[in-house]
Amino acid sequence: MLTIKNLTASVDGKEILKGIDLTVRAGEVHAIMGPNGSGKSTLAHILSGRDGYEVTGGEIVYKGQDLLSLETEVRAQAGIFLAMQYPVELPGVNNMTFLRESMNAIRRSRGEDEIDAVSFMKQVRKKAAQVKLDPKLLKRSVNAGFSGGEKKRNEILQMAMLEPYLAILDETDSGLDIDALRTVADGVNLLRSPERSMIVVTHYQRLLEYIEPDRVHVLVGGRIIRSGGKELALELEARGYSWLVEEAAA
Amino acid sequence: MNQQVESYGQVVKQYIGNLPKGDGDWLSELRQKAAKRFAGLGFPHAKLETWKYTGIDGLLSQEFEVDDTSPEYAEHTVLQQFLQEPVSGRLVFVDGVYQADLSHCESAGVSIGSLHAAMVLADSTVLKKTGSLSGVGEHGFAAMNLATVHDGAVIHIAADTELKRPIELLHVTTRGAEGKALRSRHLIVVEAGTSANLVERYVALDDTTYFNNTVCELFIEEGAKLTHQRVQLESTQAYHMSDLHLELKANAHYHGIYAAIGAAWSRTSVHNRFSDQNANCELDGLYMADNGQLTDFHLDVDHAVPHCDSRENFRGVLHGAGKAVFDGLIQVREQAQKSNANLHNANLVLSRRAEVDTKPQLVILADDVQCSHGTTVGQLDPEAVYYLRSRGLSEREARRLLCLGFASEIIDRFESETLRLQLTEVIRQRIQG
Amino acid sequence: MGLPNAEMDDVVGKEYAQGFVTDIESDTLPPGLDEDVIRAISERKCEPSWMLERRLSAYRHWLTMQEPNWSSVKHPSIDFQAISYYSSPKQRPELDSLDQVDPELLSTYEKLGIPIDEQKALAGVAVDAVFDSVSVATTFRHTLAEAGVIFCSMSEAIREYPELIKQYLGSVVPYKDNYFAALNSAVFSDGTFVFVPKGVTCPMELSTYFRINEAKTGQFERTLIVAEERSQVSYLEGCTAPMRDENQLHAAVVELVALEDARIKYSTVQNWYPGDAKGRGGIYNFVTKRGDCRGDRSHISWTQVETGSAVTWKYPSCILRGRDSVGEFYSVAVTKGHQQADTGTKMIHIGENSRSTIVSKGISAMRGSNAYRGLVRVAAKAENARNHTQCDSLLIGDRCAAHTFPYIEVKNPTAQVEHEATTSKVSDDQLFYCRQRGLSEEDAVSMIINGFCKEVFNELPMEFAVEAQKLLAVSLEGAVG
Repeated sequence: MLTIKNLTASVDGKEILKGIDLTVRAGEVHAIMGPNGSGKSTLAHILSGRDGYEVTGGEIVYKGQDLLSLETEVRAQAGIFLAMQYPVELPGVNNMTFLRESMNAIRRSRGEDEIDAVSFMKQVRKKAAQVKLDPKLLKRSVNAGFSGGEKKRNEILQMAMLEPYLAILDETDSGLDIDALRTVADGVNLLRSPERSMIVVTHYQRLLEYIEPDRVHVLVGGRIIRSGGKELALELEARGYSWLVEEAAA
Repeated sequence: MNQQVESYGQVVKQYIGNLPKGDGDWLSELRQKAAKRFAGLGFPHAKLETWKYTGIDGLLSQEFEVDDTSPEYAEHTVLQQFLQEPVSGRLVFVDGVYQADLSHCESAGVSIGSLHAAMVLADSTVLKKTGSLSGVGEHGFAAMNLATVHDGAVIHIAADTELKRPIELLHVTTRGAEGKALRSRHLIVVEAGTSANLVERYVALDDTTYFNNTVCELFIEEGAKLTHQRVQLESTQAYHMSDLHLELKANAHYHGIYAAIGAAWSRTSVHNRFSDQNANCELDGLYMADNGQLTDFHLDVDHAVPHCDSRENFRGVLHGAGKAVFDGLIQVREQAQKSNANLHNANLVLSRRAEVDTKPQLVILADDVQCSHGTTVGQLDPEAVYYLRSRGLSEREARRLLCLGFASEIIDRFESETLRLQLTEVIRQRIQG
Repeated sequence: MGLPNAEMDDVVGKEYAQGFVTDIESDTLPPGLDEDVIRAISERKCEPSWMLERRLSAYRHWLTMQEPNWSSVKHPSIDFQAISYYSSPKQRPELDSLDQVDPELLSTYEKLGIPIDEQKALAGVAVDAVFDSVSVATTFRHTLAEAGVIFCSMSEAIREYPELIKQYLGSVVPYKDNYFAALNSAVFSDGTFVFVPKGVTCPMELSTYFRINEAKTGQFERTLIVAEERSQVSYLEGCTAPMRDENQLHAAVVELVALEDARIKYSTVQNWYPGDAKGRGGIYNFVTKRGDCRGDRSHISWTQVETGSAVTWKYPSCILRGRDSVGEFYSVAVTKGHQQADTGTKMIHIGENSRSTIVSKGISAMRGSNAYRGLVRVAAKAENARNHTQCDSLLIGDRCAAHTFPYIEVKNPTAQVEHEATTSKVSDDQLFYCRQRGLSEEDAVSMIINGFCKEVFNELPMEFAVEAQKLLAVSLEGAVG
């Protein structure tokens, strides 16, 4: 699904990623953990093609193609979805209209027909219920005036509707109370499938209690300094990051 | 220089027309330029956009004299009440004339003096700065000020000075000010890296009629920080015109907290120029207008360079037959990307005869900016009045309390507790309920 | 501010050259303005003498006035003697084929989905009766007549309904009102008259669209709409592409009168020629629009989508005289290229409990300049007046400009007036978010801009809202990125 080789990148001339190697196979869930400022969000944004992140070396191959040469929307159409840490507000843009436009843009790019209004509505209602998003919010402007939890649920709803092949969750757990966290995790788990891979970026182990990863990577100072199974997350929870940093430095 | 003429307008014209030419005082070249400017501009009038709502007929019909004889004041003891607060330095002006015996400054890095003394000494640094921000005058009163200026404060705070206590500029008017036109200019330089607090107060010992026309130029150098608390409590018969010109260098921070409560007619214009990046300007203002009062605030915040922030918050309380004018202009020039500016103006109208004319303006020539303004004109919330009455307060008390609450958003910004208490007390007395 | 004469001719005169030099027919007047020209206009329109007198009074007053210069728009001064003040549709410069039409213009029509024949008509290419305006008008006129509604050209109204015209014309915008209103009162060529009698709800949306040919007659249109007690009418003006016009100066006057419990809704979609990419040519659109809420509980609502013209100068206003009267102003103004717009509204609160709402959305792109200028005045007698104003500006590109100049004058202590304004750009975050969900940059921008304008589009009749959205997308094409 995704192969990252020796990726280096900088923001405003400052090197943030210093050589990342990562392989994610179809159906796998990878967690990327690390302290603040380690480069986790940078990696997420580079995968989705955000401006302002300069890739200085290495390559990313997604489903056999060179990802870095693609525009953001082409990546989205090819099945990459980024659930953002701070979802953006779009005043005046109706939530449902937005979702439908997105779905159709993606479907068109794949040569599929646009979704008809009736099946779209059915799907939205069903999936909104799954992520416990108040149906009233569907009629409002995208994220405008939503609470933190509502925004995150809205992200998961979009993910469920757009059915990506590679979903990247950037600090989706931040700012959520335990009930909201569980709902969001349930939404994510419903989407796990053999064709779909996920990269879960998080600072805390908490989210991984609900979304069980196949692999855990620890990103510190722009490098993955340790990879392991889910037990690594528990170890980090118990011991923090510093021992790993020291170990890596030694 | 006593002249017996009919109106102030004529006095000024005659006076300016007869300025000593040639080798007059040290300022004479500037004075001549300003006189020429005044001759061209004349007095402001309602056809000028920035004077549309601010009538000056009352002012021009007064019989003010240009008279700079030293004041006689027997009220030394009365003056004492204003001299108690501990300060880093204090400059006292009585009826527009600097009082060396009442002024003092003991703090290292601070030098104070009067403009009159600088004139006598022909201080070239002072001359160079004078008019460099204000120009020779963008309106008739400003030109007139420069043409006829008599005295003022010169304050210099050296680089990297940390002042614990404020420097105070105290203007007191006495009975001796009756019928006079006072003209002063202040020059204040805060050098790089310095953090200072300036208190500027206008108070009156008697209910006399006079015209106080002042211009203040403030230079805030790189990384310097100045808090400027300015309280205008002129006599209720007085006319007060002040033009503040600020220049903020890189990383400079200016916080102006203004209250315009006194005077029959007052106009305060604040011009802020950002001349380098990452500077921050905050302006908070409170104005009140009662019977026969006109209060005018004009702001001109010029984002000429990128990455500067400004915030303006002005509140007005109108009662009696008071009239308030507010004009808040924020300009963002073409190259001034990443400018943030937010202006808010709220007016509380308490009486049938009161009037508010408010005009916030945005002139935006750059695209990557966050600018907004908001204005409201309204009354006390009847629900709130009812709520307080249901808790046992009289209607009058309830209204007074709510007005104070409205004003306190600005009053609380004053760092000096003395000023906060004084303003609260004045407002409490003024509000009739 | 003036340009050298040669250039001035280039700007103002050129487009008229073909039309006037050769073959002046009986119903086209040569350029120039004096009392004889006004007499000639009046004569050609077979007007009664009182109308001529009115025109002459207006003209004499105009001569004493000066062109205003207070707005933020800049343009070369206008040579009023270089303009022809009367010209029938036939005398517009006729083109032989679409090849002679600005290809930019044609592609705009295509994008708006306007059929080729209409395109021909709009571009001024001779075309046979595509718009059979006579029969269209006649059909509806029958339905309207049954309801008692008068809907006709101003020339016809002056002849057929002199009493109504005498009573109402100039009663909202007197000729002394302003420079361009005085000029219009002197030389107006034609326009529309609508009269809705007591208790009648006009059975259909009225629009200049039905009278396209007539609408093209004048640079100086005059529109008067009178809604009697308890009547209702909705009027649409301009409606996207049909109003393409090659005239340089437009100085229209629109007057609305709403009596007790009457309701007038006036919608404009203005898409006059904005000039070419270098800022040459294009319409100067100096319009005086004013509604008089004369009766208690009357209601006047202005909605405008302004995307065209080189210079727009208009302030559709409401005089809220009646108790409980309501004034509304919803506006989207787009400027790009070298376009300039200085637009807004005046809400004059005189009646008790009068209420007004102002929603203004300005979009500036490229070198476009957009100013909101508004006045909310609460007179001493206007107890419990309420106003809410929201002005938002959206900036696209770093050469554009957005200004906000609200004037608020309150003389009554029971008034509540709120004004809010914001200026921002389409943020990179918003664009990235939309693109991450698969939308192209262009679609993303268009979606965000439509969201920005939504409150105003909601006020337009459905089919026009759709057209307005399309028009906006077309207008801003190439302005983003």
